[in-house]
This record gives sequence, C-alpha cells and structure tokens, in this order.
Amino acid sequence: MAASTLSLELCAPEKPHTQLDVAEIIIPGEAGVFTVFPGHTPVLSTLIPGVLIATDTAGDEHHFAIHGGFAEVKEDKVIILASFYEPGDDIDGVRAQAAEERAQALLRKPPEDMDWTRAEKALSRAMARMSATKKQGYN
Amino acid sequence: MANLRDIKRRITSVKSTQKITKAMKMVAASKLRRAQASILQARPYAFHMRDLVINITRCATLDAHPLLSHGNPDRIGIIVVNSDKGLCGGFNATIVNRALYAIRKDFAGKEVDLTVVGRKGLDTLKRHSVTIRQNFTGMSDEPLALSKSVISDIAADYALGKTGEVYCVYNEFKSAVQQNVTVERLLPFQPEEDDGENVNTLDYLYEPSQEAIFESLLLRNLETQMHRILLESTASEFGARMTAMDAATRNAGEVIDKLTLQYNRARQNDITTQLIEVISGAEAL
Repeated sequence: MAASTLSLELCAPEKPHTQLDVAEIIIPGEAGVFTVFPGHTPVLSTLIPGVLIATDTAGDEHHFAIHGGFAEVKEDKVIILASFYEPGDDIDGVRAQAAEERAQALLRKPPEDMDWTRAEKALSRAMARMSATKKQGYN
Repeated sequence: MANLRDIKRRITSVKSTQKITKAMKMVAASKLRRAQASILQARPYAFHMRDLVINITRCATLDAHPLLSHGNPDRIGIIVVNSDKGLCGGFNATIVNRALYAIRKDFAGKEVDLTVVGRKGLDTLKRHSVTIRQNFTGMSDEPLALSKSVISDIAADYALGKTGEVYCVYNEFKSAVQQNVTVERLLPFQPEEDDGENVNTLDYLYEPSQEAIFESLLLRNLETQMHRILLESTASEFGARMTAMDAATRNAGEVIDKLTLQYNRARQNDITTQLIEVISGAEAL
C-alpha cells in the first residue's frame, strides 16, 4: 500500500529549502512534462525551464518557476535539485513580462554575434516565470 | 620607572588598536550572519545531490562516464581551502598543518597535486617545499564561479586517469565559535567506508537517458560540493575572525588597565618627589 501523500523537497544552491506535503506534482522534465502521484516508480530526470505545479492535500495548487536542474522521484518522495527556483507568488509579473518581451525581441532581430543558446534559455526562463505568475497549467 | 609621557603615548596607541579590533569584530559578525545564512541554504541542495550521486553511481559500470573510472592510485589531488585575509586566529594555520600532515603521513609515498584556494595558506605552504600546481584567490566575491574554475582542471585530470583520488581540506562551519578541520574525499564518488547500508538501491528510470544524466549531473555535483565547501570556509573564516578579534579587544582592554595603573603610579610618584623637594627646600631656609 503506497502512502497517500508525497513529500516534495525543493532545493537550489542560493535559495532556502522548501518542503511540502503534496498529493500530486507536475514536473517539467526534459523528455516531457510528467505527473507524479504517490507510489510512482523511481525516476531520475533532468529538468528544463518550466513550471512545477504541486497540488497539496487540500487541493491548493502551488506554482514554482524552475530554471532547469534534476528531479529525483522515489516512492513517497520527490527531490527537486533546481539550478534556481521561485514560487509563483514571489515573482513580479510586470518584470517577468518585460523580460519575456525583451527576450522575444532579441530573437526576432538577432544581432550578428548573438549567443543563440543563451538567448533561447533566457526566453524559456522568462516564459517559465510568466506562466508561474499566471498560474497557468499545462492543459 | 617609565617616563610619564611614554606611558601616555602607549595608552593612546593601545586604545586606537582596540578601536580597530573592535570594528573588525563588528564587521566580521555582520558578514558572518550573511555567510551563515548562505551556507545553511546551500547545504540541503549539496547533500541531496551528493546522496543522489552516491546512489546512482554505486551500481553504474566504470565505463559509464570518465568521472567514474579509476585512475592512477599513486597520484592524488588535494584541494586546500583557506582565506585571503589574515587576522582570524588559527584559522589558516590549522588548515595548512592538516594539509601538510596529510601530504607527509596520510599519503606518504604518493605524488600529490596540490591546489590552493586563498592567499594566506599559499605563502606558508610555499615555505614547506611542496609544489603547488594551481592557486586561486578572490574567495568571497563569486563563490559559484570560483568553484567552477577550481573544479574544472581537477575533474579533467581525474577523468583522464592522472589522479586516483581527490581530497579537499577545509574548515567546516559548526558555529560562530567552532570550526572543524575536515578532510573530505570528492572523488571517487563512493564514500570511503561504504557500509553497504542502502544496498537495495533503487532502479531508476532515467530520463532522457542514463548517459545524459551522468553527463550533466556528475560534474555539476563536483561544482556544487566545491561551492558548498567554499561557503563553509567563508563562514568559518568570519567566525574565526570574530572570535580572534573579540579576544584581541579584550586583551587590549587589559593592557590599557595595566598601563593606566602604571601611569597613575608614576604620576603620584612625581608629585611626591616634587613635594619632598619643596618641603626640604623650605626646611633648609
């Protein structure tokens, strides 16, 4: 009998460590977005910038913008080792929007010596932060 | 008996020294608070990552990634982490002594590649006829960037099989008044005494693939551990400096008290002599 809750631990090098008891987690994995329920098979996945949505036992959704990293899923435990993460509620929507527009403008009119990977990463991070503020899901 | 003016001058000098040590203590205390907060934040991330790496590399084959292979067992890498600045008590001396002990006793007969982080220990180690391969300074400005540059060559050497093991000697931060000198093995990833406690390792599903995970995780883990070590050392340094400066301030206070006593005695002596002179002069009339 699997436990009915998952313990979610979020850590990043320069961020305080967050611990939540949740019922369901949606993780932006590199090979695709996946959902974890208690009793999931152990998975080790790399993450891409995106939104992590954790639904706690009361049914409230917590959104976190994740900027890449690793996710370790065990039977009743999920450990997210992110390079950076931010709770959606803490993100300044106006600034995130501005950053997204800046990144998009840069990709539309690239200067000759543009660092493409960096620009694309900046855009995906900006988009992750935007969707975390808007509390958008993946549907 | 020292001259009155000399004592006065010494008192002023000790007082200004005391002002400096007091100010340094305050500065160290406030920096310590920040450093302590960042090490406490960095620890869970680093420890989780280390456990994860230990777990997934335990059953991995040696050829799965260059960082998993075994290198030349007669050559080891040692990273010594100390501070750029002095005036922090025995902080640097204990680290340097531990490192020298490691080189001469623990790893006697082996070749050692020494990497030194921090300027203070470098000077002392140079005097002990050990060769230093690399050294880094500029510790507290950008710990994350620094840890990357420290690790890159060390990881490359290990991956090429030049070194068989990599150790790090640093001060682990316990509390403001306690730092532990620690020798930690960074490579190979498996702990030295693998008690086989968690032998039933989980068989993970790797996404996108095991190679891709190893590729990004293993080096990242080393950088993360190094980053943590640098933060530990920075916090310890401020703790050590705070304690040292506190002791110095108190000591200066004692010296001032003693000198003031001496000064008052000398002054009274002067007055007495003068009085005797006046009285005996008056009597002679």
